[in-house]
Amino acid sequence: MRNGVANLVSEVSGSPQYHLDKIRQLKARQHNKFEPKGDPSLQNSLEMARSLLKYNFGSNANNTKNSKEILVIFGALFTSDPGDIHKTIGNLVKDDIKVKVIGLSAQVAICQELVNRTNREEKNTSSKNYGVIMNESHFKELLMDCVTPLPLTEQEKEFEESNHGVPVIKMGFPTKIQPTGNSSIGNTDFTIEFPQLNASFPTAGSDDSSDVVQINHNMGATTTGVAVGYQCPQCKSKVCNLPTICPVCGLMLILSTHLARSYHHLVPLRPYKEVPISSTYESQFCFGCQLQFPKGVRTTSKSKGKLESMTSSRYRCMKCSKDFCINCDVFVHEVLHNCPGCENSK
Amino acid sequence: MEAISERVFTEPTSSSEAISDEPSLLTIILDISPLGWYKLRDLMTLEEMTKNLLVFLNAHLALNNSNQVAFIASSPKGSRFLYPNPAKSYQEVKVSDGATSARDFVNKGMYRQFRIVDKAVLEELNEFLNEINKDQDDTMLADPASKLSGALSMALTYTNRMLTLDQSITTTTASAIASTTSSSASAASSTATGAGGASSGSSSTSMKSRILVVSANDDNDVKYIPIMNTIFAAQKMKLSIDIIKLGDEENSSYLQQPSDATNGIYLHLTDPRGIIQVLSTAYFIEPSLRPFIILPTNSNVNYRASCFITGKAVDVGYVCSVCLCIMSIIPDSKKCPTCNSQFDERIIHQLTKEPEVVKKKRKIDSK
Repeated sequence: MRNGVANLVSEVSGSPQYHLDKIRQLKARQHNKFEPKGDPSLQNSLEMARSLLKYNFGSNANNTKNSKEILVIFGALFTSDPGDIHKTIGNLVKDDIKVKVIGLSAQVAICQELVNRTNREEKNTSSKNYGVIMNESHFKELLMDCVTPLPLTEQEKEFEESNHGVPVIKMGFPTKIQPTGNSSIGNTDFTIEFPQLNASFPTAGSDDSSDVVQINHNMGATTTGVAVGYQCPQCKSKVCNLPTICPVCGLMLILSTHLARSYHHLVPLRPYKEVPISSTYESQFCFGCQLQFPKGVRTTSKSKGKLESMTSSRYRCMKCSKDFCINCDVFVHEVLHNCPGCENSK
Repeated sequence: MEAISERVFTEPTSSSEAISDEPSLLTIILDISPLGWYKLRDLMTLEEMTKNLLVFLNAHLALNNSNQVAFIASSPKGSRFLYPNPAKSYQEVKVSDGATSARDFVNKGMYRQFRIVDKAVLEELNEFLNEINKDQDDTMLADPASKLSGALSMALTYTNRMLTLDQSITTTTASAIASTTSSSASAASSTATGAGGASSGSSSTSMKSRILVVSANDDNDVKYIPIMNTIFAAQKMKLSIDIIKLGDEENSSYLQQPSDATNGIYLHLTDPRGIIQVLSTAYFIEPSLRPFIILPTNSNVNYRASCFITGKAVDVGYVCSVCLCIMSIIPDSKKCPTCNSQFDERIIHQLTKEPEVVKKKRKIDSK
């Protein structure tokens, strides 16, 4: 919010990278239209957020499965609104949108009311949904508190219980399409599809010119090869963003990467076990990163206290009995969720 | 004239300082599944492909002194690092001049790094192929599925080591790392002489990296979840996965998805004979430079998911709302195969009902 107007930085999207990029762009571009200025309008921003949430999640049959949330990070101590903000709050309550506020300076009464009413709490009670930061780490703490999904309300619980069993959702996995111009090299030997040619601007390497390129690139985005879409597998209609509901046939469209993000929770990787210390080991190198393990040593009084005698530095997957180093162990379990050994031997 | 030449000289220096001064790691994964290459036998042999890839690797090494390469071969029997192979010593220096005629890694007419990579990859590849041939009895037939996910996992662990561990170099790991790239006898000398690769590790600049997959595998029978996991890991590490797809099938959805999700390039080559040209034009560009360059990419990316029950790729499927398991058919038991939760009868009925012909309308029409 800025100058009494709500500005949209990043549209509703399921991809975290998209939002990050937008925010980074915002940060990188000084002297832009997002420069802080004027009075904030809580009502305008709430209305904007409400309409965005409403139209992007739709009032379809599966409406009950969605939870809609707005997180307001509010630095000002007042709001200058064009209309009655209480009406907006009423609408938010009606649309079942929960609002959380993180205040940057001090508690504001209207925020308190907003939070209490949308979260269905008693009037003027301090709630965990409205916090005012004390310092930077506290801000981080409050922000991370907002990450946890909302609990089911009583109403939703009743609905859930009245259902016998969990619903199955029919989903489509669309194909990404891009307008292309074909160009064949040579004869028909091989054809490479190029995206439509973007006008390329010579960069002299200086900061000024790279800025120019950036802007041109963004302006061209709507018309040139950057424009990508997805095609519904059922009715072949095209949509711009995923996940969404196909406007023609009502099929829920989603990228398989959206679903697969959580699959490692379904099939968790078993932890590796440390190989006991011995004088000789079967493996010489980490199976993942080819790091050389320290050689086995005989436990004599001399070598005590050395690294080699304290640990074998080998962590073995119990399934494929391949050995890994500690760093690969951490990486495999926290980032990759794949055991390289099992993947190669199964 | 002067103006033109000056421009040529000033441009690359200023941009390279800003962008491409960091060393870069290139990992090539070559899928050597026999079936795919058998189909291609008239167009290109594995040997020619390897030669072309070696030229590409050498070009990458030549670009920056501290650039690094890795080469992984992936077969249905498993994956293996061809280069760097820590068990082999690439420092076959003048210890025994006459004896090392068979596998000397030093050649008078060739840049050392090139020679090492070429020799090591070819030797290891031959060894690997021989091994596959030797015990090609029942293991192959039992499980002909591609081990691409395994190879990608290995590439990612290796990249992870190169990216993160070499930055915070400690004395113990330093010797270990140096000895893997050049396993000379004493740790002290190895850090000093450590060829190219090891010396770059000590610099605090983060490395850029990318993975290039060359696959002639046509079947879609790859493991879905592991591939997806590698995609997310690659996204987190901000490395691109480039794909070269050979063979008949044009839209291998499991190969397209990694490259699209990680901002890589996917190209399907029907005729691989001119591959070195494709390699050096399309695939040679650093990921950091890619936004500024018009790249050949495929237009359509098939984001199909894999069914958990049948393992086939699906366009439209049913998804369990508890565990997000994807099904192409609703199982007879009406239970989720993964999380075992009972599905809602009413919704199943709604989804499976046949389209009804409404008779009322006709009456109105006839009237």
